[in-house]
Amino acid sequence: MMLRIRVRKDGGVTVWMIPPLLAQFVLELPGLLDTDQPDAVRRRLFPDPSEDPDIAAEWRRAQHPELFALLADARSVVERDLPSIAPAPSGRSFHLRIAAGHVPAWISALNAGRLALGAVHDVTAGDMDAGRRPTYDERGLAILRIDLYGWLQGALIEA
Amino acid sequence: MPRSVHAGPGARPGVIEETEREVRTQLAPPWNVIVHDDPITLMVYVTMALRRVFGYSQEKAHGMMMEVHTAGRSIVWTGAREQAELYVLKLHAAQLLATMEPVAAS
Repeated sequence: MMLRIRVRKDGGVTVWMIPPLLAQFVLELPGLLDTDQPDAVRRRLFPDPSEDPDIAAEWRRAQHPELFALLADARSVVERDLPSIAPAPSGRSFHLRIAAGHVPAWISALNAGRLALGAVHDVTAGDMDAGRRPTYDERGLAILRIDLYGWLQGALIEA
Repeated sequence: MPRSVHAGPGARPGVIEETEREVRTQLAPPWNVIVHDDPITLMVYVTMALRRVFGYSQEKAHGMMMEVHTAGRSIVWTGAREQAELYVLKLHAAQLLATMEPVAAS
């Protein structure tokens, strides 16, 4: 199955041929974008800019509110588009209408979701290797979810 | 090295004393902005982010992304600290692993 993306005349984007599993994961994406996250996720989504503890502390004080707000904005944009997810007439896939101007927020939200999953499950480069052996557990499902989000994210970047 | 000519309290009439003092102007050191590899972020996304944040060409951004991917990190910009902070903020907004450090420390 291949995702199909069409840029509409109104500037928005419609994604077709979304497999049911990816559609389900997309519906669950906002849950990964809370700023109230485990420490590992917070450290990855909001890293320190320096090993210098003074610079890092000042950074957290001065810059984190803006970075938290950006993530919250991306989540809000995604939530506004999510009700458009609907099954195709065949019932074998779904489509999603992304409103005009929302694509950058979707790309950012998908990236943040992937990073959050990676941080929670301590995903390594070996886990992301195309030739890896899948595991049939919660961690394996998280890696599959990272892959599927990446599939959609890459399609939106190249659209 | 500026030289000053003056007549101080102990100056002798008819004698001009010259003293020399050295003024050192210390320029603020430049800072490097560094992007680090992470196993999750798509390569195409890193390239896109570098283009958007710095306005780099596709070729330059792609080259830096490949350095991140193969060497684990790439110095993507060097300059004044305030501007480096702004760039790191934009890179963090794009969720890239970015740090900054004085050039001497890199």
